[in-house]
Amino acid sequence: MQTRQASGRKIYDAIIIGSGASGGMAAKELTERGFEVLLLEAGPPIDPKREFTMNKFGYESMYRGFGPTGWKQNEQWQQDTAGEFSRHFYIKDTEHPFTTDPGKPFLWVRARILGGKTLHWGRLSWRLSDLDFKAASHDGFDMDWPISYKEIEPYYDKAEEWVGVAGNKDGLWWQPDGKFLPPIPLTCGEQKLKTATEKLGWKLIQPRLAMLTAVKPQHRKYGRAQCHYCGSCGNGCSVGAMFNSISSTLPAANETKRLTLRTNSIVRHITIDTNTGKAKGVAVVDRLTHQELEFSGKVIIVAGSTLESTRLLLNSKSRQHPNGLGNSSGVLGHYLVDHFGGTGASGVMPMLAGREPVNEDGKSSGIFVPRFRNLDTKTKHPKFLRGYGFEGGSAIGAFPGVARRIEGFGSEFKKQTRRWWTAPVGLTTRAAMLSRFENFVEIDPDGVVDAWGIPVLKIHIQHSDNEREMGRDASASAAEILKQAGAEQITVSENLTVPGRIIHELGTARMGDDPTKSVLNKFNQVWDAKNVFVTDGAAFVGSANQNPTLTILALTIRACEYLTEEMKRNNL
Amino acid sequence: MFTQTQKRKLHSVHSLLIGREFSGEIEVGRTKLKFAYSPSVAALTNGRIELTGGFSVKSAAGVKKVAAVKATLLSTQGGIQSAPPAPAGATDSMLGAVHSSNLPATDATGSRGYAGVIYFKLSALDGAKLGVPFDLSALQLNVRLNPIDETARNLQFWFSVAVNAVHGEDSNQNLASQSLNEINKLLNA
Repeated sequence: MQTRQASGRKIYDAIIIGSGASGGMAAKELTERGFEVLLLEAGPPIDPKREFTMNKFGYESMYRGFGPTGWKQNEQWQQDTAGEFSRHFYIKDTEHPFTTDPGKPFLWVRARILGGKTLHWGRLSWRLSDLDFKAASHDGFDMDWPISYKEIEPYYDKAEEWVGVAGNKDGLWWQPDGKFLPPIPLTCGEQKLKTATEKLGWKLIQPRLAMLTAVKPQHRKYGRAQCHYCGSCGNGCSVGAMFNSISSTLPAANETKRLTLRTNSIVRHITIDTNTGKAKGVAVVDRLTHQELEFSGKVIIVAGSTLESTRLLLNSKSRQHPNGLGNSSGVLGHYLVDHFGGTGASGVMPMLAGREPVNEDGKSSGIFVPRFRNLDTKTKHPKFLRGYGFEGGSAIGAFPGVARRIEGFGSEFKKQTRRWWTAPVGLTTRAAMLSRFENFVEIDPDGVVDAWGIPVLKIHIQHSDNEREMGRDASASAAEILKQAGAEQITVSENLTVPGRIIHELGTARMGDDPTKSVLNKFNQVWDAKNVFVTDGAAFVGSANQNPTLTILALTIRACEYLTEEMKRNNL
Repeated sequence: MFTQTQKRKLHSVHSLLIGREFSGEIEVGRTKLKFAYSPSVAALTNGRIELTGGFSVKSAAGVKKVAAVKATLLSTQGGIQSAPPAPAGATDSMLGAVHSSNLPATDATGSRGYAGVIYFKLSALDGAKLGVPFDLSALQLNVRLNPIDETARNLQFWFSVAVNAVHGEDSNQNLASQSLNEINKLLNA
């Protein structure tokens, strides 16, 4: 993508920090509304033709897709989802320290590259409902979001239509329907799971995925094509079937000729006008040359991903904002959550054993069991608040993971592996973590810095009893579904994922109605500096149990609409 | 406004613990200079774990070395997966707990906490003496602990115990002394 040269002399209408889901959408929305935008990405640019590897398979490499010995543990030990063909989408942990106490580990997967984590995200696109936005009113824990479903619904519509979300209208009040492309069908095993789940009184639906099962004009315009089910989404989708910034929002922004993109630009801090206390720009260090730069903007959009955005705000100390920008409440950095998984069950379905193998993993989807606990008084669970859903499925994969369950060796082992390869089934939890003040991030008090001398985060997070009880219930429920479906050799997983592992870190700059209890107002605007907006997952009040990206996109569109109007009224 | 950096400062360098040495590379343009920090003494200084040892850089011109470089432990990154096994004469319980009995276990950690990375601040180095064209006056040494040998594995265990005993929520003076003694034995074996 070719854009103009960034200028240190110009005052941009808006500076956007980060080019992932939120930053990309903000760039599209603001340039289309007439803003001159400078988009700063901390990582390098990417050439999809050369660096997207969806057509490479493990057997093409001597490392079988796992990478050379020692690479992961020595260079990218935190980048759990990085593979041999996708590792360039992720940061090197050697350059990007963060700290935790030894007994409170956190797993932090990060992408510093044009497009951010949209290059390899899981694509699940769920709306939240008032069960989530008004969760505190429902169960008395913590506080409600400052918005209702009705307020955000039109922005969900816009996000879905732009992104392209395949899904089915299921008519569940707590899992609202949207503007969907045709859904991806269930496999035979998944149909069995659906029948079993419904016998237990719960629902099983097709996942809602940001993958083009049909191409609309807004997709075709930027060369996005229909999914051809190669199944390697995480290695980079070079046909644009999977939503990511570089095939969708950034080309749209670029088309306006009002976008200036600067990659390799690490924002050190937000600069403050000492007269007004408002932001006047950003201080940047060039990733490669280490040159120090400054850029000026009327509005700053912080969209560097949840924890990087909060780190930037905490590092933006000034006379007016001595504890970090937006931290007059003392809440900045607090209420960190991540979904948890890990708990669940897996097994095999005898009725599917030994059938002719077909391409079933190419659809990269599966099933979703929406939340069924604590929806109302009838479903109230005595031991925990909030709820969880199940992801999972039953599909033949290119790699016969079922072989791990089979004992023995030689021809009998191969025979058994071929027989059971076609019959796997599994469910894993996606569960809410309660937002608690004591789970927080701060600038490392001992002075640890990254490779550019920028102070790093110290992360403090642990699960609580609520997560433990929910996890126990989830494991038991998953096993119950599999048993009902006729699965055998059921293995139950009871341990939760380590915090961070689901890569849904959220909160730490929460929105709210009360400036003494929140960092942002209901339009993602920093209470303490009205020309600064935080539009990524940092703004979340709670995690709910659904994947967050669609909500991030909807909130970003809404914030951009609001700030446009405020700018017209000279209110920023 | 554009501003120019006067002098390129090296803020932090990455290394791996191999045997009893912290080894890594410093990128200078397209050249990579191998460096090694070889501590020989571990002590508690002003309440912090401090190592002392030689810092050497290898280039085409040969090896240049500075002696008596101090490395003050700043902080850690908790390790994921299982803690290193306790060496002879030690017990797992010397490490901190990842979760107490009333908190849930996770699938990526064992029951014991340990350091996966340790961060040190080095005393000021003279780049010119080491043949490195950067300002090394405030260099941070990041040490990834992913041992593939017995010495490094034991050092990881004792560093983890020491961090917990000195800086942990339940500091323990006896355990701090014991762990530093063990580290010194390993550094000088």
